[in-house]
Amino acid sequence: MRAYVIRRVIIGIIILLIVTMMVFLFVRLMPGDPLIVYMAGYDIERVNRIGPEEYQAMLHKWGLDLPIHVQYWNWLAKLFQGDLGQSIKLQEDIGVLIAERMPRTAYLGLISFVIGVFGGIAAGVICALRRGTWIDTVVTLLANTGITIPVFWLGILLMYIFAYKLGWLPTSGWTNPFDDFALHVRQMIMPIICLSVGGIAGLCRLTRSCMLEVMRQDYVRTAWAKGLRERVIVVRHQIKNAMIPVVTALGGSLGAILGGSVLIENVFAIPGMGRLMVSAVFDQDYQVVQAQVLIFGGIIIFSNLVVDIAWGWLDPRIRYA
Amino acid sequence: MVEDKGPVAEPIDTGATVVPPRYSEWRRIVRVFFGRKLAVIGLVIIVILVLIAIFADLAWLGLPGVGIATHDPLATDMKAVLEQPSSAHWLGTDSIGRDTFSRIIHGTRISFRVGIAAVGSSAIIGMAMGLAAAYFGGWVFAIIMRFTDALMALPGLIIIILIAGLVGGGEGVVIFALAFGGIAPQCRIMCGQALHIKQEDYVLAGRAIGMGNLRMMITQIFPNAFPPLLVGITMGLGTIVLAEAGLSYLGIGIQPPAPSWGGMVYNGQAFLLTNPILSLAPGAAIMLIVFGFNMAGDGLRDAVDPRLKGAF
Repeated sequence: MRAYVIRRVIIGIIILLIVTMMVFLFVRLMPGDPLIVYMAGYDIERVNRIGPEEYQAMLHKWGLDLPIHVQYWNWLAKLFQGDLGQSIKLQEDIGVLIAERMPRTAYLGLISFVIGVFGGIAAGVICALRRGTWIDTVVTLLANTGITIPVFWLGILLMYIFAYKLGWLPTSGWTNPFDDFALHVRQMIMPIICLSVGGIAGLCRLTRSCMLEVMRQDYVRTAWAKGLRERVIVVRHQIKNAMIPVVTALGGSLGAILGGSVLIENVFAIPGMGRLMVSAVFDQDYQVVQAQVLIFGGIIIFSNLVVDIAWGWLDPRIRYA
Repeated sequence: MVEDKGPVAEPIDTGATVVPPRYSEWRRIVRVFFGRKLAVIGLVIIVILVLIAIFADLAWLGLPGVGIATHDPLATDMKAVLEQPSSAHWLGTDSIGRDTFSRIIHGTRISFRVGIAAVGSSAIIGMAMGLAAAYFGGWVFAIIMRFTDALMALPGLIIIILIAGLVGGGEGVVIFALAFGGIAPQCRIMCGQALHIKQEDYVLAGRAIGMGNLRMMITQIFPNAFPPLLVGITMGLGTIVLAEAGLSYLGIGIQPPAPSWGGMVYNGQAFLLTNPILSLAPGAAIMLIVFGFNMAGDGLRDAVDPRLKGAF
């Protein structure tokens, strides 16, 4: 077990290193220059007036005149000290920018993830147990719609119905829960629905098909034959075995929520990581973008690692695979 | 779709025993696929949308102004701004007087073009990588798999935003970004299939008659791994059309004035209170196309992978 954990951790670190390299290279190979945007905005007249000495001085100040591998090394060395660098556009420490926004995204994402996981698995199990009935038909249809619907459009649709037409909920925005908790809850209902729909629908479909697969196994028939109670068979034999592929898919659904948060935060004007990322992309502020991509990647690698280790612990066969 | 011509007609008389009819995997797949109601619905939706894309206008036949679209999707009309649906403008007009219905019809073309180009290129690159990884094994396998692991660690939309956003929009860039984001899953499926097929007797037989690596990969492993890959491609089309819509919604994707559905949803959002149809109609179009691809993909998966038969 210890060897397995060590091996998984090392692989996780290697993948994270590759991610840092990829992100760094991507960002540097892209056209677009944050210094120009910073010095002159989008005003072409002012861009033309930037003198070469002035530009060189800026390059030097931000360490962008060094060879690319040295830049990478410097960035990595700073990362290890917990320094994510400076935003060229906003003139602020990226660590500070992210520390302010990450909790909002994490909070929304985590709630949506929990709702998605439990809702999806429960719906999938019910569909499989009631296969062929109207419940199964309706829920499966809803799940198929759920994986199809564009989240940002769902957001707009909900906004139209519940905010504009019915007036039950505020259209958008973010309020600190410690300032006005009731308003905060009302504002968060629609974003959370949008973010959890993908997870509920995807996991429902997966759980349903895995359950149906497991229900046809010999050991389930044996369990029925030896006269176990239905509840024991369903919980201990069927659900437990059907969960193997579902748990491995959890990392993916976390990734989908992080990706979806970029869209949803823009729909509902929530000042989180996703909004920061889109505005940083528009400003060509690549230090900020690369830090954010790295954090998202790190979160997913870490959660995959947790899943892997959990499985090694639950299912000894996996340790030796 | 490749249709088998049925049993081999006249076996060549070699004096040996009669050649048994060739078992056709494709034929079984087609039969199972068409037995699934949802799969057929998905396929019908896709076929209709393809026809809409082709006949949106007939400018390519030298007949401008004729076609399904009632107006020029780019023509502005300042005298008919933000109109409600009417007989002249079936879905109304947007803030600069463009006909929403015609824009949605023409948007079909963009979705198919971007979807097919992006999925096609990611499939080619991903499959080549997966094939090489599985076939050569060793360090080739290790490098390619760690690379795809790293790609998989980033949410697809984030990679796409990263590339498309920093390069700047435009259809070519969007296709490139989407294709890049789609490589890893294609590579994974191919690799898994090829690892399996590598163990088959016919591969050993091929080696015995002195097949080279490239010939073996192209003539033996690839065709046998193809059916599951087709499932990946169909599912990938849905995912990529959805991602393109998201990207265009954020303003990083297809640039205006092109009638991209995601961009139309964004533009309509400002007029949600008075003209909800501006946002809601293009979104429904996105749903329809993605639903088509997903359902067709589901049916194909059931047909291709017997382990999942009856699961849906």
